[in-house]
Amino acid sequence: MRRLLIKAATGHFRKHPLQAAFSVIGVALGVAVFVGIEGANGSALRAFDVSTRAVTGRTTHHIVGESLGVPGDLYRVLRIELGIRWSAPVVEGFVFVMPGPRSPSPAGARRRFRLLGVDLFAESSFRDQLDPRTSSIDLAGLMTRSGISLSGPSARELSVEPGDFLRVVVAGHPHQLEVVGLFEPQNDFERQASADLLVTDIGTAQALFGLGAGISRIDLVVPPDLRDEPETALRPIRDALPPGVSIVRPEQRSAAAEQMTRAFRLNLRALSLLALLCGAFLIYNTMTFAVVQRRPTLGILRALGATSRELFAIVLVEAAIVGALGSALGVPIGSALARILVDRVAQTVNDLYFTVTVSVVSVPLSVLAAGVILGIGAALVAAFGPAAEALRTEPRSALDRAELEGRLHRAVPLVTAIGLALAAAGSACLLLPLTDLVSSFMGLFLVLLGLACLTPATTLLLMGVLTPVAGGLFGTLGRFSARSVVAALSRTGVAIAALMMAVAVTVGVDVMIQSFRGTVDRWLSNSLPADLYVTSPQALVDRFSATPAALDDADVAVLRGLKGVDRVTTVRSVRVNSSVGPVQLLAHDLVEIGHTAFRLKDGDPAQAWPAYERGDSVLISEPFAFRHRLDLGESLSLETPSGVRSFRVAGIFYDYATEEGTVLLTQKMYRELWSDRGITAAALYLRETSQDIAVDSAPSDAELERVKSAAEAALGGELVIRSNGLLREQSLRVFDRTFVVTGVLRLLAVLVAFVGVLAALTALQLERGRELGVLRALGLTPREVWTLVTTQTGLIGLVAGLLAIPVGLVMSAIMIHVINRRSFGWSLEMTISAQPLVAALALSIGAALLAGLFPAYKMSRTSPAEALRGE
Amino acid sequence: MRGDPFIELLELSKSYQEGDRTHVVLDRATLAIDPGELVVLLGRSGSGKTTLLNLVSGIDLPDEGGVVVDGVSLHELSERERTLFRRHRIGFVFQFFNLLPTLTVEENLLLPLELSGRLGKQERERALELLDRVGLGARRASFPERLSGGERQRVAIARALAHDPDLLLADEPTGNLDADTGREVLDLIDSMTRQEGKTLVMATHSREVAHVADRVFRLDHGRPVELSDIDLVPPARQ
Ligand SMILES: Nc1ncnc2c1ncn2[C@@H]1O[C@H](COP(=O)(O)OP(=O)(O)OP(=O)(O)O)[C@@H](O)[C@H]1O
Ligand SMILES: [Mg+2]
Repeated sequence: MRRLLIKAATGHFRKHPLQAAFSVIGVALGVAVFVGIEGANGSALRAFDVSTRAVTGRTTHHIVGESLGVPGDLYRVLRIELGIRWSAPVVEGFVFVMPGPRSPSPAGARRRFRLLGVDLFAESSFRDQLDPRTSSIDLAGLMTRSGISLSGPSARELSVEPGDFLRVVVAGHPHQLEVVGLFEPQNDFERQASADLLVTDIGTAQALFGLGAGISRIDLVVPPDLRDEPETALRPIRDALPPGVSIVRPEQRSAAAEQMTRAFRLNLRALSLLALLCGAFLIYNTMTFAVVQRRPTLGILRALGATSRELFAIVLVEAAIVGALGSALGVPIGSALARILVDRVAQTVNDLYFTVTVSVVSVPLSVLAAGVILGIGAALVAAFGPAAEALRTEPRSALDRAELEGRLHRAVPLVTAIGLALAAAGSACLLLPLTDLVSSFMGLFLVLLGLACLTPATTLLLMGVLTPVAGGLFGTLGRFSARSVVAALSRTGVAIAALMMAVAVTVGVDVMIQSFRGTVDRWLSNSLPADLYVTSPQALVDRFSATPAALDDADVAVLRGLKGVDRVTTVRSVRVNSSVGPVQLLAHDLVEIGHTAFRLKDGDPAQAWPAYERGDSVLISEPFAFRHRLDLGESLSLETPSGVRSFRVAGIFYDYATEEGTVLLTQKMYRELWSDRGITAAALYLRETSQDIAVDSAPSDAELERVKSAAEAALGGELVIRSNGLLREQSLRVFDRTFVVTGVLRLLAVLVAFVGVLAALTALQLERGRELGVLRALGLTPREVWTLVTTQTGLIGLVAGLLAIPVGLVMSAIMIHVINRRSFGWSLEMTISAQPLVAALALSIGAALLAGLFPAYKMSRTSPAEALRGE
Repeated sequence: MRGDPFIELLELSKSYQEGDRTHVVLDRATLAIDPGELVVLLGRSGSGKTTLLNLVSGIDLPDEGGVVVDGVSLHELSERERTLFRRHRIGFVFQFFNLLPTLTVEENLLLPLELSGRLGKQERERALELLDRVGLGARRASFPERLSGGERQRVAIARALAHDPDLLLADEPTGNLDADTGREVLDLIDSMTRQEGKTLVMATHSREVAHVADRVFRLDHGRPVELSDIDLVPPARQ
């Protein structure tokens, strides 16, 4: 083959392995972030899927109600009146299991388990957990002694054995439940699926969850001979279903989970691709540099008869190798990252969407493959420009760096024009009345890329201003270093762009989170006008499974009678079916003062509230209106036990509690239509203790504590009573948790950029070795060389930081006003404070200076005699 | 009678280690050069001329022995002091790579003046006059890559003298030039240094250059050996 040709052409990397290493690290980090995020996202979803399937077993259909579950009576009707023997009742919910006495884990380390209550007589054809061939369960004990069973591996982890008692906390109450047997998973899937599962008798579960005769759902296994025509088999059942109860297929639950978290996952994916983009910049940087450095070599090779195609191929193959090495390194790092991130992602999913416990993290092969393809692809795309440059190398090219720089400077207007065009195309994606997220992210990427292309021009402009400043501060050397930033624009430009991008991401994400948090904070203080809030712990654990009423009218009367309580308002929160699918319905009995908790975005309060009070209209939250494209005056139909009822939308209110949105209806109307007198939560307004208007009228902590204890004593300790301050604090904590992953990603983006600057500066050092040799020979001391390089690095950081601020603000504006709106439908108020901007500038300069330390040190140490001898 | 020498090489040794082979370039070289003297250093390619000049200018350090320039022992100075000495006292024309590609001809020329903090109006004019004298006054604004090899060499000579050093070290200043231009450049160096009483050490392998020299040495087995006039008779006439 052409061994010598390849050897001659690639000698550069053998001689400067650090250069290649930086590229590899850049790709590796990019790929790692992508694999980590996708892996964590996927694991959370798969965990949901797996655990759903574990409790689904061979079930073909579920009969489900909304929040109220399914009346227990329905099962009797099915089984006895309709004679449908392929049905089984299920009660399902989440509990906390405390470690056993022999467990090595700390006493406070509780674990969330899914508790499944099944009817042992109906069960055999549904699930395998109680199959006597694979389990050692004392069925009698299960039924008579309120026993539970769990999987062998889980039992070993918790250090419990049959006969032991397990401490289980249900809805805030501790219970001791006897382990009456274990079931052994027969394969990996079962092991994963049963990792966090407790199985018990349905009666026990009903008692634990306080459901009375209610059940969560009824499972059906359509017999094989009827499967071709399931509808025929299901029709009699459908006819018997009360309103609000429907038949769904098991896959629909997973699909719903996937749909629910789509925007959330897409946002994370976009961030991970952003990290990869930074990595691609790095490769571009290194490959361009490698080509520029090798111009003489390539020129001589051309003169000796190598074709330009061969050189083009060599550069691309090099890039592919860098990409492959980077991917090979990035995949294991990404898998490790997935393990770190999965808890955070799962936590967020728990906080925002549904309960999921992830015990096993496995990044699927497809994600790993996608990571590798992206890594190599990014490397090839990034190297295409430099490869084309190599292709153009003339034989014995006399073109040297200065010529190249000259050409680049002439190309600045073109690059700027391209940047403007990209930014314009991106803005079009964002401004057109599109609603899909993919086009939004496309828009964001195009705008960012476009702004990155403006870097050379803006750098030249900024350096025009900074050069005299640097000259004033550091004299000739300052001016000289400022000028060499411009003179080596082909190197520094890319470094500045890469650093600018990463810092802009930081600014963008910071400002977005800050604005988001500010908006939520203001909303929280506004929407919690009462002093104390009373609810059941169950409502807090699992928003989407059956929530029994926490309180009844008698409890509320007790609360009203407490000393110091001025007013009590209540809300019933249920999920009901509507013309747009299942919705969260909040039935309030608001007093006038409660109106302030809902700030109307659309609709005139003077008309909206009376309409709402009449009961023929509803108020809907902003994300709900967005999600279902509902506007003021349009109508929404709700399925009630007394038939479908249509309501007019009288107002749209700001609400940041859920992404899926809520519907507000008066409690009076709800009780009339649903004949449900349950209450989910109550809000207590305390009597003003001070008559003095000037004094803050908020009740004192002591007073709050007193009323709280009185309420607890009066109602029993089964409730969660929180002050508005605490509630707000807890909500904000959930909010902050949601953005932990984002924070990790931001950090990684900065890391990539840091490597980018390091790579660019070491490249510069290599390239300017002779120049610095001349300077040293002309009388520059090592210290002055150090100052020179460090000033230059500082300037790079300063310029990148200055450019990053507007770019970051643009980015956060896009995230706030477009991406967030199209993802979740929330309108956020952009708040800009100096702190993140100053922090960005400091980060940028700091990163650049830090990255410059090593090259500066090396440059100052180079022997001028060696440098002058050249390559 | 001679006064103190301007440059003194004291048993200077320098060798390079390549793998497990030691390559001795200078072997206890001793030499004394008077102030204002023009010395030519001959020697075959690879005999160590560049190495010797690097040691004299202090951009490289000997393994053993020392260099004294104008009474200052370079080998006893710190790196920084050595650099500052070079900045103010020495002008250098390198063999290969002389000009900074990112600076124009004029900027290259003024750089040493700027570095030594003496860039006044007068000095600038003097430097530009030097550029005229090497015939490149019209190319002030050009970047080095626009110049031919010989033109670059001439700019380097002007630059080496711009800050008015006492000692000029020139490594093959005529290596890239045709015979006529080479002679012109040589005369230029000769007149510019002699007028001002500067000391000049020039390395070359062309014997023709020798006619302008006060003394001629040849590097032989790592030591300079002074050549007599007889040795310098062109081979054709021998
Ligand atoms: N850094 C180094 N490592 C190894 N050998 C070196 C090094 N620097 C110089 N040499 C060797 O030292 C010897 C002298 O080199 P030098 O450059 O001084 O020669 P020169 O007389 O200037 O030759 P020329 O006339 O070709 O320029 C050469 O053989 C060279 O290979
Ligand atoms: Mg030489």
